[in-house]
Amino acid sequence: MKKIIETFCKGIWKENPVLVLLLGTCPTLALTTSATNGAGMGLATTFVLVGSNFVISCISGIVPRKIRIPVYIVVIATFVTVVDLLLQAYAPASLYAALGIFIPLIVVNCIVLGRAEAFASKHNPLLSIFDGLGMGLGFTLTLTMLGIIREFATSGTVFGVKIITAWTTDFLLPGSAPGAFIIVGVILAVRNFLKARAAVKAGRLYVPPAGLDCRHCNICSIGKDDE
Amino acid sequence: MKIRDNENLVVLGIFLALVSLLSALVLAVVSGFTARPISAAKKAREAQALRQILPEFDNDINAKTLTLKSPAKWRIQVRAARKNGKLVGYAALAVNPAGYAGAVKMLAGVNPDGTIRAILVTEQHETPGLGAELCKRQFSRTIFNLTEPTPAGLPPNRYLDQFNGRKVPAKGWVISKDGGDALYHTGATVTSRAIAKSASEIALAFQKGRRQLSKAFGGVK
Repeated sequence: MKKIIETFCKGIWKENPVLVLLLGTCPTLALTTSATNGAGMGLATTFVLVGSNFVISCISGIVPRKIRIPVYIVVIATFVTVVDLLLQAYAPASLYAALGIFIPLIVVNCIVLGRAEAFASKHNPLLSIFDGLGMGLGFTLTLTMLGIIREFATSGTVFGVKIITAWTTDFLLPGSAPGAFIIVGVILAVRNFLKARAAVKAGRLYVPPAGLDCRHCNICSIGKDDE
Repeated sequence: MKIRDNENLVVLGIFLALVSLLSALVLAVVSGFTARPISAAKKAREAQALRQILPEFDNDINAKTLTLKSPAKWRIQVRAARKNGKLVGYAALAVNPAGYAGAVKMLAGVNPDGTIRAILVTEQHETPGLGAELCKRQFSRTIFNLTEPTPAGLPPNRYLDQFNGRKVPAKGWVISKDGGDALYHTGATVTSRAIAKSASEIALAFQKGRRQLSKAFGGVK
């Protein structure tokens, strides 16, 4: 039981797919122009993630190692097509109009294949479902938060509701792709700063998340004398 | 030998084929039971759009479609709306390929005299927050009117409403930046141009196609 809760919770903050694993950056940047879009994309991805994690965890024992990646992709693509059809049939027209062309992109969303390969293929179906739920929730929350920030900064609205009624002209940078990069970058920087400070205060050595560390980067040392 | 460690190409191929077959089966089932809701949703969207741009009508509007050629050689699809057998308006669909990012699809309600009644943009890929806003019809919700019911009727949009009931100039409407008198939004020139151009093409096609229209639907009075 404890393990299930741990698996579920780690996706939300400790191993947040967007802010820590830095996976699925394409939908993160492209789709969070409004809070509604962010939440919709997050929920659709969560559904795919849970379904594919479950199926892949069930079949991983009998899938030949050599062709596991194509098999996983087929499973994921099937779930994505199912989501696409269900959304077309039952989702509100405005949501499908906004997400429609991005749904097929969930197939190549690194989070889904990443969790299949790194988690579902090595754990039992129950744990895999909770991993999918946690990761999906983390993804949804991050995308919604980004959507709220970007939508509010662009037009003073949140979920289509004007918060500041005096807002008349749109500020376009946060709604565009470059603005998304800047906002995600600032959030990452703040998150890492807080983590590093907490680690230093506790007297531990701060280890940056893989891929975000300074070991292979020498920008800081340019212009300095070798010590 | 365990199947997991199998490296025989034929076995691997068969395995992958089986997985694909299974997935095709699942998809066939799902697409089978969503086919009807999907087409119903599509029809509902379309009917909703037609109700918004046309006066009340009671005929089967899709019974007959006429394709008009506009001055720019676009194909404009026209359907007639009737009430008690009397012509009350037309629905015209125009696709402008020159949006900012792909085509802009415009559905216009046209009065029997050939002037535009109301315009809807049914498909566009313009810049979010900029060009896309010019094509959107949405009641603005604020924290002050959050609980009020949505007012009935078509939400206003000054970029789309500016052509309503106006006689089209011989060369079509041109945005003020290009020397005409149609509204345009700074920073969304391409979208503004696309809207003015689509509206003009529809209005001009109706002007040019009077004879065809009266032959097909019984006349523009």
